[in-house]
Amino acid sequence: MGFTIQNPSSESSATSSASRGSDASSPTPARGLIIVPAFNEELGIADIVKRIAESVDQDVLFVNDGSADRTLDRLHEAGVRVLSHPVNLGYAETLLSGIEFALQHGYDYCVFLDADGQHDPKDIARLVQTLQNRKADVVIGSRFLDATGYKATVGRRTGMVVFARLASWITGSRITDPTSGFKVLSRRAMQAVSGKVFGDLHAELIVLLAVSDFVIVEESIQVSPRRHGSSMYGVLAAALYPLRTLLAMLIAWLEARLNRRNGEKP
Amino acid sequence: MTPQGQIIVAIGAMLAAFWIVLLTRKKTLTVGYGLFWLIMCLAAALLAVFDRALNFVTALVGAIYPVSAMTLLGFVVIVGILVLFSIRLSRLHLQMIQLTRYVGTLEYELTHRDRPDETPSA
Repeated sequence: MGFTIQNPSSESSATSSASRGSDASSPTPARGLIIVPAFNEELGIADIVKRIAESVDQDVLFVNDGSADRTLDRLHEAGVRVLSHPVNLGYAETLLSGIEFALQHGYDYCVFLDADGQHDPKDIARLVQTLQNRKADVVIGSRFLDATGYKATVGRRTGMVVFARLASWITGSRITDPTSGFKVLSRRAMQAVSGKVFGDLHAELIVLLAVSDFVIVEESIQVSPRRHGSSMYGVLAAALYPLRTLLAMLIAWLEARLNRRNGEKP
Repeated sequence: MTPQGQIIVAIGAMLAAFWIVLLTRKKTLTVGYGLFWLIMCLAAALLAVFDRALNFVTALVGAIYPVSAMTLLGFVVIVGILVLFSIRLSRLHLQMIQLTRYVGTLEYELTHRDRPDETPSA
């Protein structure tokens, strides 16, 4: 795909240029990796593989998180690249495995796309373009930036609003959808979150990066209802999610503040 | 503590110590944990047998009855152990994540070693 990132950050740009040995003053074609975490998605995974292939011409990595069903078989049948965890590690660790892969293989940015079919792969190009044009480190696909008609249960919606307000207050900029799983991260942002311990890479990721002066922007997206399978949050996990995220946000804020005081980047 | 209570605690501690030794011998318990629990058993037995030691501890922790002091000490030890185990479990969890990621990466590299030029396209 022909995306270019024109000096998204000094470090990212330097990495891109160095890896290709090109002139640092000219725009460097950026390599992006779409990371799709998959856990027990055997019914819908073939559909998302097809939709991605139809929508973008970009490198894709499926990360199978120890699925108990035939997700891994379906991915092998589809002929896509798969990084597979032998046991289930959870959503955040699956994304972090994708980030490690992207860093090791010299990608300049990565895209998180959920495997449940709710995110439209056609939006990827627009989000990556925003990363380029606004020289951002993170682009969040927001369900609430525009009136997209996204519906959620009252409890879930309340949690989203609370975390959005909290993230906006802590970061000092308007964040409408900190719990979105559809994100684009620059290489600099990937390096910052690599090796860190997070809850679900949601609000705490935004707090860590925003307090560390990374540029975070939102782009409106539309999401579809889940086509197959069920939510990764069971009753207990859903009940604990707000507390886990609050603790993770506090730790991320503390780490970012301490790093700032010591003059370090996360 | 009544003589009956002293005997029960001392015999209980000895039986527990014997069980710990068996578990350690079978490698169900590691030597480190086995040693820790043996020390706990020995401490309980000594406090039960030696009245003066238990009375000293009772006065030290501000308890009225020796049995209350032993209960308090047991509670403190249990909480300490739970915190220690939480730390150990967290460390094991992080090691498990690292190992899982390492195995996944190795498997990926093995699967794709014959196709080094391929990019991970869909």
